[in-house]
Amino acid sequence: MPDSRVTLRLQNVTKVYGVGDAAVTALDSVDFSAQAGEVVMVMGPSGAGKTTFLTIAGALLRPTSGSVEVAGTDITGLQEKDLPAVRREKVGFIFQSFNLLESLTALENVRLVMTDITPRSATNRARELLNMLGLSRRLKSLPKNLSGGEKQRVAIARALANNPDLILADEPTANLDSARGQEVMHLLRQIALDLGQSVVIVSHDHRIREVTHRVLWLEDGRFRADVITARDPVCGQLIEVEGASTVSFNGMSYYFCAEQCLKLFEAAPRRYVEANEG
Amino acid sequence: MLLVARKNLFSERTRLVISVGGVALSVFLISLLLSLFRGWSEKVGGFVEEVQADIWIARDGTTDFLSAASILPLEEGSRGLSTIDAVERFSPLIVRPMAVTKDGKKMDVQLVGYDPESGIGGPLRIEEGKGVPRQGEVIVDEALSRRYGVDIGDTISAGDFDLKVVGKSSGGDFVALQAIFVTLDQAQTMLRQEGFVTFFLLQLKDPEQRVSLAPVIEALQPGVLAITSDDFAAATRERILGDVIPILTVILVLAFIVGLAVSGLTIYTATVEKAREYGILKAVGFTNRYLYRVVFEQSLVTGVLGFLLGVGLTLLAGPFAQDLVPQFVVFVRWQDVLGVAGITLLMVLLAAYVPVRRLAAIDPVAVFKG
Repeated sequence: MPDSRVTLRLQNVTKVYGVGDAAVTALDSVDFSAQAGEVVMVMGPSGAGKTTFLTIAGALLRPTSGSVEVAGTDITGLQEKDLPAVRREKVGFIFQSFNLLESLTALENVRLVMTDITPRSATNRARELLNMLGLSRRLKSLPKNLSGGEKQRVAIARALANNPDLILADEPTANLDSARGQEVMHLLRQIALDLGQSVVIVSHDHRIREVTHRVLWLEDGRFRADVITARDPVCGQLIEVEGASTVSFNGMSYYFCAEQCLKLFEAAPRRYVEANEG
Repeated sequence: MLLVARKNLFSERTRLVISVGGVALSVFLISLLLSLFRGWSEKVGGFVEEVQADIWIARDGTTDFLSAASILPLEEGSRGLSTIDAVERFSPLIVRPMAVTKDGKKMDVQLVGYDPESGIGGPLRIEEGKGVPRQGEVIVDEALSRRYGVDIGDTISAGDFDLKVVGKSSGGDFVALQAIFVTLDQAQTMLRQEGFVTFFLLQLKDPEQRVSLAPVIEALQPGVLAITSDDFAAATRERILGDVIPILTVILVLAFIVGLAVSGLTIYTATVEKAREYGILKAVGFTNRYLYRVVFEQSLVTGVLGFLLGVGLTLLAGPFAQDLVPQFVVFVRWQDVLGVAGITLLMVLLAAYVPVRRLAAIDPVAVFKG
C-alpha cells in the first residue's frame, strides 16, 4: 500500500504556451500529489495537457506559475543547469516508444544512466535489474533485436537504475499488445509496491485502469472529478460522455471524440460494433 | 572515451570510413605538400648552407646562388681580401647555369668551377669515383646521374668542350637542375672569362664575426655584396620557392577545406540522425556538456585515426613517388608532423562546432512524441 511520503506535488500549476491572442493554457491551476508506493493514472482526451503535466512533473518544462516538488525538492526554484541532475537522480522516465539508444545493448542502455557510481558497479546493477525483469538472456541484444515488451522492460530497468523516487510513464502500453501491456502494468505496480516508488502514468489505455490505485481525468488543463467516460468505437480513445457527439445503434449509445469518427461509424456501424465486441 | 561516443562512432562503419578517409586524404595532401616544400627547400638552399664558407662575396645586386649573375675581378678581389685580418682564407668560385648534352640529350646544370687546392665550393660529398677533377674532367651530382643516366666514364658536352665524368657527388641537387663540378681554370676556359670569377668564399678566423664583418667588407670594397652563408641560402630558397609558396598555400588551404568539409558533414549528419537519441539523453538527465563531449570525442577520434592514416600514407608514398619522379623530393620533419597534428585538431574541432550548436537546441520534450 502507498505510504504517506509525498514524492510528487504540484501546487496551483499553470502552463501557458505563447502570448497574447496566440496564448494556449495547457495546465490551469492544477494541484496534484503522489505518494510513495502509489500508482496513479492520468487519462484524458488528446490535447488535454497530459504530456505538459508529465514534462513539468519530470523537470523538463517549467510551469508558468505554481510550484513543483519532486522528492522533497522544489524544482521550480532551481536553476536550469540543476534540472538534469534532478531528472537523473530523482525521476525515472518510461516512454511510449521505449526510446532506447539503438547502438547500445540492453545492458549498456541501462548502465549508461548510472554516472555517479563506478562502471563496474553500474554494470552489476544493470545486470541485476535486467535479471529481475526477466531479461537475463538478452543483456547483449541490441534494441532492434528485442520485442516491444522486451524493449519496454529494458526501458523500465533504465528508469529504475538510479533508484528514483518517482517514475513517470508516458503511454507505456501504447506500442504493446494487450497481454504485453498488462504484463508491463503489473510490473510497474509491483515495482511501486516493492520499491516504494511513485508511478505516474499518462495513458489513453483504459484496460490498465485496474492495476492503478487512482485514475484522474485531465481535460482542458484541469483535473475533473466524477467524469463519465466511454470509448470511441472508431479510434478507441477514452472520452468524456458529456458534450461528446453521440449516435444510437441497435439500442446502444455510442460516443465519439470527433465528427470524423462519427462519420466513419455512420458509414459502417456494424464493422465497428463487431470489432469492439470481438 | 564515453560509451555513447564509442558506440555511435564504431557502430556505423561506412560513415566512419568516409569520415576518417576524408581527414586522412586531407592530412595526406597537407603533409605531402609540406614534405615536398621541405624537400625542395632543403635541396635548393642546402648546398650554400653546407659549403665551408662563412661569408660569400658577390657583385652588388646579386640575388642568389642559382641566378649567379655576378662578375668579380679575380686578382683585384684577391688583393683586397688579403688585407682583411679577420679572414682566415678565401677561395674563388665560378658558377653559371647552363645546358650541357650527353648523346644529344640536353641537361640543365649548374656549372661550378672551384679551386681544387682549397676545395671550398667543390662537391660536398663524393659518392663514387674521383674526389677532385682535373682539366677536361667533371664530377656530377648523383641526382643528375639518376635523372639522365649519366655515369662515370661518360662524356658530356658543354659548348665546344667535352668533359669526362670521373666522379659522382651528393648535395648538389637543386631539384630543377643539378651541379656539375670542374676546376676553376676549366670553368674560366669554358666560359671565356679568364681573370673573372662569380664569388669569393671566405672562411673567417672567428666565424662568430660573420654578421658584423659582412658590412665592413662591403664598406672596404665598394660595389660588392658580402653576405653570410645562412642569409645567402635563405635568399636562394626565396628566389626559387618564393613563387611556389603561394600556390602551395592555396593547395594546403584547399586540402584543409576538403578535410573539414568531409569530416564536418559526416559528423553533422550523424548528429542530426541521432538528434532523437540526444534528446533522450537530455530527457533522462544528461547535460548539454555531456552531449558536447560525445560529439567532440567522436570528432577527435575521427581526427586521430585520419591523422595516423594520412601521415602513414605520406611516409609510404613519399619515397615511392620520389623514385618515380626525381623532382618529387620529400623531406618529412617531425616538426611538420606535429604541425599537421595541430591542423587536424583544428579541423576536427571546427567540424564538431556546428553539430554541437545544434545539440544545444534539441528539446528533450520532443522525445515524448511517438
